[in-house]
Amino acid sequence: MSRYRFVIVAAVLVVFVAVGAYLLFGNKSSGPQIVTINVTVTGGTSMKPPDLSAHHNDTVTINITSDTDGEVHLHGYDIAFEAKAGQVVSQTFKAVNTGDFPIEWESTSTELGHLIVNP
Amino acid sequence: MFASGIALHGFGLRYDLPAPLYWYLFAAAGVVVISFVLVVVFAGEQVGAKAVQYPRRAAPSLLPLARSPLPRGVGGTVGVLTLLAIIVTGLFGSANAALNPAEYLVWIFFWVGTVILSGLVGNLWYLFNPWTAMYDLITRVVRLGPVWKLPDVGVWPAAAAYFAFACLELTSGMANRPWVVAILAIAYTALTLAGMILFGRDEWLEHCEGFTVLFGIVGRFSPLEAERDTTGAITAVYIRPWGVGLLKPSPTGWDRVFFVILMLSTLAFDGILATPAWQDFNITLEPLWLPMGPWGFFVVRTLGMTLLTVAFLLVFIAFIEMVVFFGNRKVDLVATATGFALTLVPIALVYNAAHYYSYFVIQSQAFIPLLNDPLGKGWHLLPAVAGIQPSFALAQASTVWFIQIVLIVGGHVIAVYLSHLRAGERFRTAQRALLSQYPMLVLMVTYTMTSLLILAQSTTKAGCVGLAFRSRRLRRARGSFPEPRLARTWGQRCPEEALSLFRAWTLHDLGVARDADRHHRRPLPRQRPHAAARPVGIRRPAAHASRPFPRHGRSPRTHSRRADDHRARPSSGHRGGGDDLVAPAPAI
Repeated sequence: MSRYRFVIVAAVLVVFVAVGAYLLFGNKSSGPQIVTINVTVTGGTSMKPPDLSAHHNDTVTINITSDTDGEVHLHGYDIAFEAKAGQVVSQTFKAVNTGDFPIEWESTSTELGHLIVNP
Repeated sequence: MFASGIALHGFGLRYDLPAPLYWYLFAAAGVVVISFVLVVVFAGEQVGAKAVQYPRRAAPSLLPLARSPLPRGVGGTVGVLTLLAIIVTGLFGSANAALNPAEYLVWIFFWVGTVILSGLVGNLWYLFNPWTAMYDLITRVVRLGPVWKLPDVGVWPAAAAYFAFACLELTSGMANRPWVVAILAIAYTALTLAGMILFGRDEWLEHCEGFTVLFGIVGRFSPLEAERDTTGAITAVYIRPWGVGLLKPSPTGWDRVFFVILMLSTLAFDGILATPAWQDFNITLEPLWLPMGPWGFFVVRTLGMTLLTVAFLLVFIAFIEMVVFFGNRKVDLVATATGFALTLVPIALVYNAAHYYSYFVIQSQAFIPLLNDPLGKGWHLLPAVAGIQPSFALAQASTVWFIQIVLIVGGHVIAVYLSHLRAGERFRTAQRALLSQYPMLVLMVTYTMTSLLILAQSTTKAGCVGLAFRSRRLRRARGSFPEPRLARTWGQRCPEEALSLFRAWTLHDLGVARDADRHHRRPLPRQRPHAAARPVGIRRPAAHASRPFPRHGRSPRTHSRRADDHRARPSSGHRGGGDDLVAPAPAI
C-alpha cells in the first residue's frame, strides 16, 4: 500500500508540473514582431507614454524626442540614448530579456518610465 | 547597469514582472488539490515513534571525506577570506553598493546563496563559518577554556542576533552602505570570538550565534546526515530525502518555536513590503512616523516586522492548541509546538528560494565584473571579466514563474507530509492523528497561499508606494490603489529618500555634516509638494554630486562619477555599472 501512495502522489505532482509547464511555456504569442515606439521626453523629468511594452524576442525600435539635451538610459538592456533637443534619437534592439526595466534620465537618475517585456 | 537604488532586501535592482493571475490561480488550485490527495492517500498511517522513522541510505563513500579535516580546512579558509574581503572592500571600496563586492558577498552569496544551497545540499555554514575557523586556529596555539558558564538562555540570544540581522537587511535602510556592512562584520566577529572564548565554543555557537542556529535548522532540511559518536567524530554519513531531517528529535522550548517563526516572519516581511497591505499600514501610521524624521522609516518597518512576527506566533499557537485539542491526548504543548513548528520550515525555505531566485541569478553574475577592480580604484586585475553582462537565460519571466510554482508546491507537499508523520508520532490512534492534522493542514495551506500571493504581487519597485502616497486624499484622487503607474514612478526613490535622511542623521551625529543646521530646516516629506512638482526627487542632481562630501568622518571623497567607474564597458552604447552612481544627498 505504502508504495502505491507515493506513486499516486508522484503522479499528481507530475501532472501538475506538466500542466504548469504547458501553461507557462506553451502556445506563446505569434512569434517575434517588429515594434516601433515613439517617445517624447519633457524637461528630463517625464516621458510620454511612460510605459512601453513589448514581447520577448520582438525587435524593438525606440525613437526618443526630447526638449532638452541629455541621456536617457534603459536599464537591464543597458542602452543609452544621447538625446539632443528637438532631434529624434533611435536605438533598435532585440528584446531578449523579459522583465520590467526602468528608463531613467541619466544625469539626475530621474525615472521616466518603464519598458515592460512580457514573455 | 545596476542602479544603486536599494531594493528592500539588502541592495540591488530586481527586474521581476508581476506574475499573471492565471499563475496564481493555477498554483493555488494545485496546492489545495494536492493537499487533499495527500490527506486521503496517507490517512491511517502508523502512530507512535515509528511514524517519524524515515528512509535513509548509508553513503560510506562519503565517510572518508567527512572524517578528513580537508572540507573544514578549505571551507574555513574560504569563510575567513570572504569575511576579510567583506571588511576590506566594505571599508575601502566604492561607496556605491552596486560596485562594492562586500554587498554582493553578504547579501547575495552569503544571505541568499548559502541558505538555499544549505537546504539543497547540506549545512554549509558548518564548513564556512569563519569564526569557528579562527577560533580553531587560535586554540591550536593557545589553550582556551571557558571563563564563565553560559546561563540557561536557550536560543533566545541567537534569535535576538537573527532579528538584528533581519533589521539590518530589511528595516534599517543601511544595508546598501558598504562601510556599515563592514563595520558590523567587524563588530560581530569580535562579539562571536569573545563569546566563544569566554563561554566555550559550542556553548556560544549553539545558543548565541544566530547564523549557527539558523543554518542548523536549514541543514535539517538537507539530504545529508552525519552521525557522530560521543567525542563528536563522524561515524556514518547518510543520504535522506529532503525535509525528513526535520523530524529528528530536537531540543524543545518556546525559544526554538520563536526562532522558527522568526524565520518565517522575516522572510514573509521582505515580500510583504511590496504589497498594498503594507502600504496601507504605512499610511495609517503616518502621523506616528512622520514626525520622527530620520527615525521614522526604521521605526515603522521594525514595528511592522515585530507585529508580523507576533501575529505569526499567535496564529501558530492557536493552531497548535487546535491540533492538541483534536488529537485529544495530554501531550506536552511545548514539545508539540516545537515539533510542528519545524514542519513549517520547508514552506519557508522554498518560499525563500522562489522569492530570491531571479535576484540571485542576475545579481550573482553582476558580481563577476567587480573582480577586475574590487576596490573601485581603477585597477585592471582581470580585464577578461570586466565586460561581462548578466545573462537572463535562467531568469526569463516564464522560467522564473515555473520554478516558483514547482518550488512552492514541492515544499508544501513536503511540509504536509512531515506534519502528517509528526501527528502520527504525537497522538495515540491513527484516527486521532488524522483529525489533529486538519488544523495544521489549514495553517499550511494558508501559509503557502500567502507565500504565493506575496510572490504574485511583489514587484520590488512598488515596495514603498506607501511612502509615495503620502495621504489618503492623494490616494483617493488617484483612483484605485495601487495604481501601477504611480507605483513605478515613485517607488524607487523612497528608499533613497529614507537613506538620505539616514545619511544626514549619521553625519550629523558624527559631527561631520557640513550643514548640519540645515537638517532641521528640511521640510518633512508631507510638506513637500506632491506629484510632478517633486520630480527630481530623492536621487540628487549630479550637480550636487561633485560636492566634496565627508563620508563616515574619513577623508573627504567625492561621489562624483569617477573615470574608473566607467571601466567596465567601453562602447558608448553599453554603459558601465558606475553610470548609475547615485549622487549623494548633499549634507542636509
